[in-house]
Amino acid sequence: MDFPTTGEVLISGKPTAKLTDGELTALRRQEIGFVFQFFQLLPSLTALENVELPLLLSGAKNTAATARERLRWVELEGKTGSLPFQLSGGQMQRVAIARALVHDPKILVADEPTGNLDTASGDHVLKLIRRAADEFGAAVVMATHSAEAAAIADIRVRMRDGRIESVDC
Amino acid sequence: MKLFRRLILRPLRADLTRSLLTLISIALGVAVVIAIELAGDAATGSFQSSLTTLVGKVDFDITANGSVDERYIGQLAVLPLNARFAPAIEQPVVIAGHGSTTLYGIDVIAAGIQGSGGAASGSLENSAVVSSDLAARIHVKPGDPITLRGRRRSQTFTIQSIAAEQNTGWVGIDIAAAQTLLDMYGKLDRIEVFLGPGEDPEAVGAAIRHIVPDTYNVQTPGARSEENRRMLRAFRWNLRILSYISLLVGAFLIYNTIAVSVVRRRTEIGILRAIGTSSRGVLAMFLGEAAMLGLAGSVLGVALGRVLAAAILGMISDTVNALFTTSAPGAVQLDFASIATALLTGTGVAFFSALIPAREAARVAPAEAMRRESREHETRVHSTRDLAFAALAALLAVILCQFGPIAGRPVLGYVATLLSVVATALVAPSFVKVTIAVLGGTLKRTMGAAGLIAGRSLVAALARTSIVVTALATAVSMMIAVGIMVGSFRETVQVWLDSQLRADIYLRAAGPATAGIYPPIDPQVPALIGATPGVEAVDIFHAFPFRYEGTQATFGAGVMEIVRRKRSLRFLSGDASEILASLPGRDRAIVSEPFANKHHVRAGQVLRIPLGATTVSLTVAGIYYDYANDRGFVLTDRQTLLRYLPDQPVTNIAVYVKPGADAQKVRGDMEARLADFPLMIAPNEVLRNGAIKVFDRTFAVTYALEGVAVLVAMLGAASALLALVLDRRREIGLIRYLGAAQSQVRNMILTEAALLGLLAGLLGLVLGTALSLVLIYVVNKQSFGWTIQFHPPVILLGAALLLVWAFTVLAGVWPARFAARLEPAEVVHTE
Repeated sequence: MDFPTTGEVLISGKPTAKLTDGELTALRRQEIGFVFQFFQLLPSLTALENVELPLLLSGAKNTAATARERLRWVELEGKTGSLPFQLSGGQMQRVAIARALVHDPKILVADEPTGNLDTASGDHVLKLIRRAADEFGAAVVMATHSAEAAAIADIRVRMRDGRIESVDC
Repeated sequence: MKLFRRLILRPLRADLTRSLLTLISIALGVAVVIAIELAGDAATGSFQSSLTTLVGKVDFDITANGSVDERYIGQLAVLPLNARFAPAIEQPVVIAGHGSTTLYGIDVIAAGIQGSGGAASGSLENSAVVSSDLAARIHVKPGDPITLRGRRRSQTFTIQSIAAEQNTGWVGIDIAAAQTLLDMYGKLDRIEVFLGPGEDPEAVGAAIRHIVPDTYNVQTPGARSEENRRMLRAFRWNLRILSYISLLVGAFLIYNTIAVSVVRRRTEIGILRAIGTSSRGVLAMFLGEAAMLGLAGSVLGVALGRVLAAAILGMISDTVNALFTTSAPGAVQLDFASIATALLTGTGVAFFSALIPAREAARVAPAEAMRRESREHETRVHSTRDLAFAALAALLAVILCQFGPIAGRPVLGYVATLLSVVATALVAPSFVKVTIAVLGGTLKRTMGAAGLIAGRSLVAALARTSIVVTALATAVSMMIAVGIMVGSFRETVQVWLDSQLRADIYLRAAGPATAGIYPPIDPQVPALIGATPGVEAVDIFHAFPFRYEGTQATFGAGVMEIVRRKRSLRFLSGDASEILASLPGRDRAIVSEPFANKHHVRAGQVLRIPLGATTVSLTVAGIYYDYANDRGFVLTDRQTLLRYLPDQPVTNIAVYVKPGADAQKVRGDMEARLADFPLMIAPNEVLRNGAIKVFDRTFAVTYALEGVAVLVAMLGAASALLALVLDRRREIGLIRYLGAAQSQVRNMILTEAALLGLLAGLLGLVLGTALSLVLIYVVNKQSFGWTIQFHPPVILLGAALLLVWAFTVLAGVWPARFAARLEPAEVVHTE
């Protein structure tokens, strides 16, 4: 999405800065899932359609069934037809997680996933992210200001003013 | 002012493309309105005879149905009045080797003609004055000969002088020479009256009326011009209304532009409100934006309109001359009043279109400043209420169509048209929602994510989508309505021509065919034709303009027995053969449908028509369908006419060839026999094709107007799509995050464009068909008085719809490319 000002970002051994737009699209489509602080669901699509979207974009088959399965995984099978504005913040973020995992990505990038949620919803979301790593084998890269959130990670990289301060394993 | 500059002008500059698209839309709308007005004025502005440049300002004209008897000049001249009475003839004439022109016969000595460009000597009866326009066309100068072909003979005149600064072609000769040349001994077209200083016009008018028969008309040339203008009123009104369509489409787009401005700047408005700006101040800012766009667009529109007017003047002038009356097109004149009207109209339309979104802006609460993100705010859509109002508007439109014209104009028909557009605008949101819901599954199946998102995005921005769809649908509907009307009219005219033009060969005096002018044919001609081998029947026709109840119409007389046998006139009611058989030998007439409608005439009614010095009572035997012109015809058997006007010349002849005879050979023989007479001899198909050509030329302007309206709508579609893209940057970036390729984003926007085109096309088709019924059965009927049969040109309309749809998709190309090139990282950065 963004390119490093210095240094390199390698994904599966490939430097992202040297990839063409098509290759970057393919990378996002197949290998990366995103979870945002403000959920970023398309307001005009239902929960199911939001989850289905990455599969539709990649031209996959049985998109609705796979999306329904992921929604069941985040415990929202009863909300498939709901539009985002009909969901709570926690529910929206769970839909966003289902969407991020629907295409079995190798990497899940989560940017402040609990930053806009109350504690209970935040805890639920963190559990789901942890399960994503355990059950789907996705490498989760999560940026957070919250120590509780960071606690679920296997490796914690502490940053201050754009520089790495420490790495805890 | 500072606030206005910062909140309104800066964003307009920042979003220059959209600002320009809106500006161009208004400019085009205003340009079309002013072009039609200016060209209409120029094409119809000059009804005054060019003769006034020769003889000076005329105070009265004395005219009569048929012709004016010359002897009244003598009786008038002895009246104790300070006035001069001058004879005048104004007829078409053929110049040997140079086609036709207008011939003026005047009393040269009395008029004391002065020309310019040098004078040549010559006797009075052999001298001619030529207009500068004609002199330039046929390359002549004073002293040159000019040969004019009369009814029986040709005569060569010497050009004595050239009348300078004339924009029409004419040649002036002495009245006596004109009467000899045209076989009009003792007859005049009119007597012109010039008042001396201090003479009372009313007293002179009364004295004249005392001398001339009651059947003669005594009127001022101004009244004649006014009569002509009245005749053109319906034609000009319909053009004018059509020209306003582009402005109406533009109004929807202004509404959309301001609505988008309000949506985009909601947070800024909230901040302004929070720091003390009044809601009235906010309202004024957005209305100011609209007025500014309107004014700038109008200024551009005035300049463009002036250019367009010059371009379409020829077309309008041709139509006026072919269908209505003789008028020399003047120069296009852009005066202060036209400029002021255009600026006021453009700015006013922009201002009023912006009222609703500007009021929405004024209602923004200061709390909006606290919003975390600028979410799309939509004008609330009240579907049920809107549908109820739409039904009410449609019902009212239907009711208004049942009423007759107001002051001769189909005002209620126009209001019904406007109400139909309002009803469509109110139905549009529900229509968009339902159609997208129906198409949703198919879109997703066939186009995947692009189809799914495209449909949903249009519904998500429903108010905005509806406005664009309504604007485009209005333009499309007008195209369809006028297309159906013109197509139906064309088919009706074709069928009518088939029934009218049954003869094999047609003859009339040489020269251009102009409405209301029927140059005479030499009386020897019918006999010469009758003697041509192979000729079965000769229908001799006499036509001349006459006045009835203050308006002009055409009186015609033919051999009704031949008409009955050979032609298939269609009557509104009654048996054609019986009606036509009842005419010969009796004071009976048939009238055309436009005449009947204009004068509220019914079969069986008695018309009192002045013919020469007598007023004749004619019983209406029937009303026939006719589309020749909207002045209307009164037709009798020729023997009836000749009983009252024995010298009335023949003006047209229709020749029927014997079955089995070679029509081409007969025509060749006939041409050889008639070589000495200046005649136009045309076979059936030439006349028929000529009539259709005039018809098509008449509606060329209409198509041009439609084209501009559609173009304005296209610009609106492009502008609206661009706005949708700009406001959905975040969404587009997100889709890219989720794995959309650039091509998929492009396809998504193009699909939205295609959907807009489809929705507008469908809605436009329904509205257009409804409007075509209003145009055919209300506006046309009330304006021109004729019945058009409904014949929609399906293939042509299908092709036009497809073309509009293709152009709408094309309008989406640029916004689509713009969307595809957006940087997806923006989403992350805004977070």
